[in-house]
Amino acid sequence: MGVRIQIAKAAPDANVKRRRAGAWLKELRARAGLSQIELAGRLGFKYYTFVSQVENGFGRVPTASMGAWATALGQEPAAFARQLLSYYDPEFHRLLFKGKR
Amino acid sequence: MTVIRLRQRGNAEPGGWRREELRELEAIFAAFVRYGDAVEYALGATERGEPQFYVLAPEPDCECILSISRVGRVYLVEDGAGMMIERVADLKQLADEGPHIVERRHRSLLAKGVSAWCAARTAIEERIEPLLAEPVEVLSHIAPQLAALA
Repeated sequence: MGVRIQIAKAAPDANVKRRRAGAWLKELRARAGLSQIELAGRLGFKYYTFVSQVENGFGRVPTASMGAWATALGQEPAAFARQLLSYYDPEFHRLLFKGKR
Repeated sequence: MTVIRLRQRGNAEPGGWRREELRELEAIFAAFVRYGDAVEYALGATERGEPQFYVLAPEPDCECILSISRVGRVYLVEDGAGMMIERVADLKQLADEGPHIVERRHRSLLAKGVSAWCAARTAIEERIEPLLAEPVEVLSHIAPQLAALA
């Protein structure tokens, strides 16, 4: 089912980047063949509503569970965290990885 | 302070919420606005179509600080990090508790801040104490000899 989102006013930059992160996470989950419920189960969450919150771009993957999130989606944790950092904190990402591939 | 309202199309139920539910949700949101914790909210849904209501922090982050989802006949209230705050059957009751939810959030943030401060202080003390203890130890050895010379 498609997600309907209405935002009250023009989204600032951080909001736009978080939504891109959410879309990327959703795509990874789809590629892994998991539903939100299944992913939440693998992450040890009682409910899957937080997965939805993150995928809709209103929350972040908590640092403490980034590794578990990566593993559940079949991703290499360091590359996964690095990609998320580029969405959540682009300036920090730039300082850490500028010039690196 | 401006409370921004969502655009609504005709009699549609925005984001899957019923009108009476939205009224209660807006009452909860208003408590956050009063405390200066939020200036806007957004609606969404899970992939199964359960409606979600997000209370968003002010700019620049605009991150979700409270999420309310209707799953079956219950409402799940979570913070922005996915921590379950409450699971209630009555949204009206939750709306009445709005200010308490905000206060609890403030207490939780304060507790986290105090914990971080205590951890930092302990780390600093662990590093500085040995440095301070050494001169005191030397002084305690030298002091009797200095006193004998005096």
